[in-house]
Amino acid sequence: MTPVLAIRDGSIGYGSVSLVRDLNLAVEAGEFICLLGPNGAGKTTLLRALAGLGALLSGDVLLDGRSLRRCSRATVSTRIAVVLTESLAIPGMTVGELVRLGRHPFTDWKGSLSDADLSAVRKALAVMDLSGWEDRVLPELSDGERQRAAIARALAQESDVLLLDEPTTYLDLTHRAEVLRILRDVAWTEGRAVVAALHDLDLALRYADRVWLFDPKADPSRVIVGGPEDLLLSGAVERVFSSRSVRYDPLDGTFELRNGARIPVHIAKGTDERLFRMALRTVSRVGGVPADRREARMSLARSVSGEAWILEGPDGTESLGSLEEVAASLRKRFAAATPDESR
Amino acid sequence: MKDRIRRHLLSLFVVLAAGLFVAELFWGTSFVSAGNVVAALSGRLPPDAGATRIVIDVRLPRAVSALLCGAALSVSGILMQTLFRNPLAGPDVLGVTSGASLGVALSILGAKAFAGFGASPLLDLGLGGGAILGALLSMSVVLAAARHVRDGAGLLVFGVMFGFAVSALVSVLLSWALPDQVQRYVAWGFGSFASSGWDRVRGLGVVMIVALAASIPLMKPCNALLLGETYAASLGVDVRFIRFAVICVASVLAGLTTALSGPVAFIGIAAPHMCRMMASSTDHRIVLPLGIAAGGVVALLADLGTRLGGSTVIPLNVVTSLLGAPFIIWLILAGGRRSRI
Repeated sequence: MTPVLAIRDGSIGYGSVSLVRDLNLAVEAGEFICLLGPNGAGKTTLLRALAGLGALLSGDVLLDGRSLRRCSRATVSTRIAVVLTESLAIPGMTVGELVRLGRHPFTDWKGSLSDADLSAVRKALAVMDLSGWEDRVLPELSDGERQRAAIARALAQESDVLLLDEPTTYLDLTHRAEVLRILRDVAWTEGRAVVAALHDLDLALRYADRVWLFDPKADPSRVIVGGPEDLLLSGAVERVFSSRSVRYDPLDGTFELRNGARIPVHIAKGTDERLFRMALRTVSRVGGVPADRREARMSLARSVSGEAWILEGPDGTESLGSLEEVAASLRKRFAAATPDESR
Repeated sequence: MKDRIRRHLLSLFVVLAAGLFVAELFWGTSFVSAGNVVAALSGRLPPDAGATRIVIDVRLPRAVSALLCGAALSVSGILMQTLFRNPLAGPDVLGVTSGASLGVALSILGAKAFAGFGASPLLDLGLGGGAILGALLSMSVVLAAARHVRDGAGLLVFGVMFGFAVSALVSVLLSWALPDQVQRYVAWGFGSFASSGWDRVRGLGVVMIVALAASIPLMKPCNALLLGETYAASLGVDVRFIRFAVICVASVLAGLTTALSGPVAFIGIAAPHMCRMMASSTDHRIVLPLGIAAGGVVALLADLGTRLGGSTVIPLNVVTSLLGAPFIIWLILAGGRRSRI
């Protein structure tokens, strides 16, 4: 099967500076691909190159196996829609006008919209939860609402390929997850190819069919490709997203702070998994590391009555009413411990 | 519903323009009875009668010139505001009018040098051509600057400074001119729709109508350009070609207006905003036709305003500035809050 969109021996960048070389990537219809990597790795540049909007220094981008260089702009616009990071706070423009511009490639020279065009617009607005918002003026919306309108515009284009640069920026948590679900549904149920550059690592790894991972630390010109879980197992995600002070925990999908006292604390695993996990978070948040009973310098457990936390250590035993109090006490105890002892 | 209101808005402006056009023919500094105006228009008076002279040779070309120049300035303003993605752009603000003035000054001085060939149509051709070239050049300079100045306010300041510099250049040129030429140039600088006789209106007007017509197919790509050049390209717009076309049409319109009626201020920036606010839309398919009608209405109103002083004629630019400047100031203060600017 020919991929809908592919980049072959592509070198991308601006001017004479190439960011990534020898790229060979492909998207098939019905796939949802997430593009991950640190800032400046070349995610935006790759999306631009894939959309035929410049940034391709050498090599080829193939749409249905045909080089984009040999396709007219008008043809490409009926097949590929983009969401850029550019601000769309255009003075006086309404949500309806923005989303109707998604139909631009399909209208006649006057730009008149047919019934089919209008129904595509209505559908896109409904999917992005913006029905009834047509007359709202873009600069008056919140950043997140405007971002949803930007995605609605791209959806209204009803293209085979959808390329999105950080579509979840500015969105609240609920809408982030919602947008990723919508993008995946668009790929799965409508058979479109969707590629999104994202910063929400955990969400991306939970929704993507495949991940393109930029790894500038190991090799600036390399993109690792694989299923999200495979990349987690291989340690690639952890390597790319960990730094000296922060470590990405592939199993939890959370970031763990590496700075702080790093004093080993034992956390008793009771019957309630939720309590255990929250206690774990509390300890890591203030700079402790979970450890087993023999290595630990302190230990934290739920009281027998189940109403308090018991913190034991060289500085004495305390009964604390909430995890907030536990955190405060841990900080005091960590500060008292000398750096030498904490090693 | 909204579409109906917009269509009514367009009809309203067309009717208003027609009404004001007729008022131009019936009302002027010298008295002609209504009966004689009608008689002159219908050709029932001899061509050398006083009323015919006034109505056919003075008032009619003046009304046509006001209508055309208003429409041209308005469309030119709409195109520039879209091209520069700057709601306060306009031919006068960006120094395009000054560039056209330089072209006019050069062609007047040139005409002096070739005084022997002073045939009027040739002079008009030089005047119009000079103004268009001046407008094109200055617009290219501002566009080149826009690539380096990302900030909208910075670009406007650049345009205003550029305009000052070009105007200063014109002043330097004028030091070589004869006193009566200087006087004519200064008077021309006040702006007036009256100074253009039939010959000039006919010659430049045809080109203006062609340029106005050429703006119609630009409506759709201009809508995409509102989103920025990258989005426009992703929607299939040939950005380089459209940018070139928009520059050409906007420069021709601004240049010819300047050649015909002097550097008229404010209509080019105010009329587009009036249309966008009334139609509450940025869609060029709505705003541009409305802008043609509304520009004509504003220019005709301003021209009628110059006659309010009775026997003393108030300069056109005084009227447009008195009306336009407060409107723009209000727009910046109130419009900013309503996200219009």
